Amino acid sequence: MLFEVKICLYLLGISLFYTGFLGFLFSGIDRKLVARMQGRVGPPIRQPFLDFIKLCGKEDIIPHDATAWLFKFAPVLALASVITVMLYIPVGFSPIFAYFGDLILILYLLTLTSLAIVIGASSSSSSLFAALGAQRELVMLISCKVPLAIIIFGLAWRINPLVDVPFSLLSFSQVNLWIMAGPLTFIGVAMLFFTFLCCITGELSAGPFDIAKAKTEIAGGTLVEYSGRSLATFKLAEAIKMIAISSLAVALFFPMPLSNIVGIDGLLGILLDCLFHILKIFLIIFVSISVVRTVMARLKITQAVRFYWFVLTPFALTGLIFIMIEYLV
Amino acid sequence: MAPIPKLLKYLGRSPWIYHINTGSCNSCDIEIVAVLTPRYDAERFGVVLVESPRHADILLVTGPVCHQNLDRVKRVYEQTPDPKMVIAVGACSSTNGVFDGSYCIDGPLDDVIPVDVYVIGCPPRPENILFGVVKAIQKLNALAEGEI
Repeated sequence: MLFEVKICLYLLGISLFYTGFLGFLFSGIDRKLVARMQGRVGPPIRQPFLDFIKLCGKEDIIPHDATAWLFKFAPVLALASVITVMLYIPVGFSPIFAYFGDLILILYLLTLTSLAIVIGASSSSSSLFAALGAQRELVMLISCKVPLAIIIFGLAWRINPLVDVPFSLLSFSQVNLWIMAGPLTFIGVAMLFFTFLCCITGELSAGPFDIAKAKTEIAGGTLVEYSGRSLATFKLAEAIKMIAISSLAVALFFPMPLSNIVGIDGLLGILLDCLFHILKIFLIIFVSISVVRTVMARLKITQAVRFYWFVLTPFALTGLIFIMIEYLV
Repeated sequence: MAPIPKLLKYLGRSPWIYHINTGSCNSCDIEIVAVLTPRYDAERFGVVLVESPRHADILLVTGPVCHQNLDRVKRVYEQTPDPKMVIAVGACSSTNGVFDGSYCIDGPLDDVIPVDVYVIGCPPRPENILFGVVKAIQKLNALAEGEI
């Protein structure tokens, strides 16, 4: 028993280092790309690492009116939930807990990250700006999760007759969604993929959906009272969440490994798959975060909800109907 | 926490800046915005204009400290986590400028909070503000080494 706990801790540590590294690397690349697209030089790619290290060395202030233990606990909860998500999502090789969790668990854990931010911000920091930000975070959570759930349940329903366990991520690597049926299915899957890309932007509150942390309106919103190591933990959790959710997109829509095609086995094959996976998540982050962040200004919260519920949800349902028509008829 | 600032001296800095207006005429604030534009691009040095003093390393203060602002400036300074630097931007916050002797100001800034770098000018040019930020970073490094 103790041995198993030890192994789990090691695995969590490896997951933390690998995904944390990737997360900061990609936020650095994202910042550089946005700067280049705006005609600026931009920060060095290592800048997020420097920010993290600097924040670790700064004073960690707990506000006078805050509920201290909850205020300190929330960032740890956020980080813990994203690291746990990464144990279930393949990052080039099959995940460590490949045979335990399923997609619903992943959805829950991704929700937990936002909830941790809400807990830390609203209930414990006693700041008005943070409370406002927390409300907006919750509204974004509700609006984002509807199309995301439609995608996941729809796809799981479609691959149900083809595989043993439809809600497992491994099943998605066994079927190729894009070419499993005719052209209508292809269009449907493409529509679902587009919806997923929009959901990534909202889930990570990037660009137009940066509503809960609106700099100029509510002074940083949810994170307004955090400083020092707690803020660093939140930054790390956000960076890992970016990797988690883009890896989820890759695992659902583009799970094809490169090593089978090229025909390289063993350690070299795993390395190749990892690099190929990094390329895939780079493309997804580039499209759904960097470009969107550059070209769009922040929306109002009502506009964001309207977009997710009355534009994106019907869009996803239409895609799902396309897939259903070809399957049932 | 001494090793981390020392480590950053070799890796590079990430100065996060919080801007306080203590009753300035807005010229200095416009010049600070100009620092962030593509022409000057302060983000090259990792400079980010943050939204809360809790996240900040460097406080950019403009304006002579109006009596109404006195408490706020002190509170924002206290809310900023250590280690921190204060830059007085513009003639007003450095020397009171044209407002010297006025009944309604409590400046210059160094009467109210400790100031590390003075950026003179009315308004100072963006290059000058960036130079002030770089000076503040150098002072942070010197602090980490224990030279000050």
